[in-house]
Amino acid sequence: MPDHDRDHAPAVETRALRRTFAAPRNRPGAAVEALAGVDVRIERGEIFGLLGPNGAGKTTFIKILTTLLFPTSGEGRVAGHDVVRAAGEVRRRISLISGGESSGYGSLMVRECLWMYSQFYGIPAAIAWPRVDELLAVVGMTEQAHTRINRLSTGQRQRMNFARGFVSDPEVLFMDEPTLGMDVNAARALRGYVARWVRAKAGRTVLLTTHYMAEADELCDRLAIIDRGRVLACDSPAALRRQVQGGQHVELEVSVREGDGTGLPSLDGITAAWGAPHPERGTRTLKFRLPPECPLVDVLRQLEAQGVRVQGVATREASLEDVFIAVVGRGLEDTEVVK
Amino acid sequence: MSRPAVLAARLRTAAWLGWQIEANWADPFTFIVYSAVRPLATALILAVMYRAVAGIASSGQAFLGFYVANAFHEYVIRVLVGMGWVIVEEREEFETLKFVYTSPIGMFTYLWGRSSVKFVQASLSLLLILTTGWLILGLRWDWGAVRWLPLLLSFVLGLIAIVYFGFFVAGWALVLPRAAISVNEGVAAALTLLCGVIFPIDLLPRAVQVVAMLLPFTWWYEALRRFLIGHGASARLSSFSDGALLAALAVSTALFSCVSVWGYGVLERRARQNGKLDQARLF
Repeated sequence: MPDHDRDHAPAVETRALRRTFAAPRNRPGAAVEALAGVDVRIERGEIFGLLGPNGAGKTTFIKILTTLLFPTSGEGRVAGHDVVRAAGEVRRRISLISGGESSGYGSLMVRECLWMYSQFYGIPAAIAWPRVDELLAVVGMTEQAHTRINRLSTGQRQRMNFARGFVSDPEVLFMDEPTLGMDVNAARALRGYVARWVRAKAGRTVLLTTHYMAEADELCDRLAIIDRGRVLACDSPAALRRQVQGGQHVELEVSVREGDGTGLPSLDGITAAWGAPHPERGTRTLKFRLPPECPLVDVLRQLEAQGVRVQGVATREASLEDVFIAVVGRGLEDTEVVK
Repeated sequence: MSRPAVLAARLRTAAWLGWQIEANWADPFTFIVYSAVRPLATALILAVMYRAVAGIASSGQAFLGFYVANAFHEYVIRVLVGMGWVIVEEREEFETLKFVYTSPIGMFTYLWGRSSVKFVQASLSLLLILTTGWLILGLRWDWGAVRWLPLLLSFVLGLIAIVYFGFFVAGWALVLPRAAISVNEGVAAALTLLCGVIFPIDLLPRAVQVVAMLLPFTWWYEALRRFLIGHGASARLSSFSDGALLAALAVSTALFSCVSVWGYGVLERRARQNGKLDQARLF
């Protein structure tokens, strides 16, 4: 691709991207298809989210685009550069943040560690040092600037790694579950920074994977819902929510008997999913969209007939989780699909 | 910044990181033990072994050759094997390999920078071992007979072979997360036995001697002995003239370096294919 075309190329583009992991020799079995032909186009300046449960293929997708893993077939491009044939060009333009990451060189101080990464990217010292200090302030670690990494708490290390991702001012920033394990306030502050960072300079792009619905809803301009290696829906959060508007979104709190698994009750014409359990009350939330032609009382009767005791009923606005249930056929916390 | 300036900054930074890690200022005792006492103890064990078991006077000329080669073997242990260790540390202990790998520094530049500190450490160990041998064990040579130019040339050629073979060892460490430590140690042991460090290659079986003569390190140790202390250790290699010895060293280094670069590329691609680059398994 000529340089001129690359300047106008999407930040990320994949075509029929596929990745299969062979079964380990010591545990023979079927190969795992982590990505089953993913087509995604992310424009420059976007915050794009990949939303999916564990094992959906999100991290594999990021690993391929950040040159850590080869695809089995298909094509992936970052800023117009092929991730297989032009890995060096890709690496000059990207940065990677992995959530829950508490890695680091224990004997280095926080400030010098961030500076070190800036040097790997060839950032002049006159730019690098002020940027490092600014990022330390962003992640609330100015006081720890001269603390050795092996003396940091896990949360502080995570925040340091978050800052590391920005130190090179990348064209495309890959964030794999960036707020995983962070406390609520830190996660909120860092989400705010990501949004400001992208808008502050034209062309900056973020590809974010998450299984936090609220994070995806708050941050992303567009979202792809991914499950079992396939993109099942891709649009803005608002447009995705519109897909499931109509009818009522119902949450029932139902009794769960001791020793019961997570088997979903069978409901005619309705896709239901388990929500969070409430062990202190011995109940669990059952979520579904009630079609307009189906009265709630019929559903309650069906549940009663199956021996499910309903403790409470609530209705609410459509959320991304409803979209996820409608598109994927189960909730993020479920392993079972019942229609 | 210009490209050479960026490259220099990256090399300098990798070397600085290596120094911060290797020096381990948080635990100076360990640093001193590892940098000084370990290589010295190894050399002294060799001296005792020769005196007690082999019946060769530890101050004899034959032993001097092995003692000198053993001192230079520090470069193999530190630099060559150390490059494999960098991968193990980065991936398994610090869990930073994926961030280094996905940055534009490039693994060659990074490993080169990190190994430069190991070169300094190996040089200090070399001086310590030779000084101890000179002062305590009476292992001396005639400084006036040292042939400096071929010695320097041999030394540089050997270092090139060490660094490039180090890339190859690092490549193996990339594809073998669980076995990387064994590979590193195995390489050091194999080169000690094969390359005439502590006994002449003439004692090896005939077929193994051929393998030894394909390795640049065999020629390196022989050249270092010949140009520093005035004689080699192998009857077979003593038939080579100085020029032929240097040529053999240069050719085997060139071939070995090319094979190592190619081998590293193959192994790195394999590691990326199999998802090994961020697969921490040991710590």
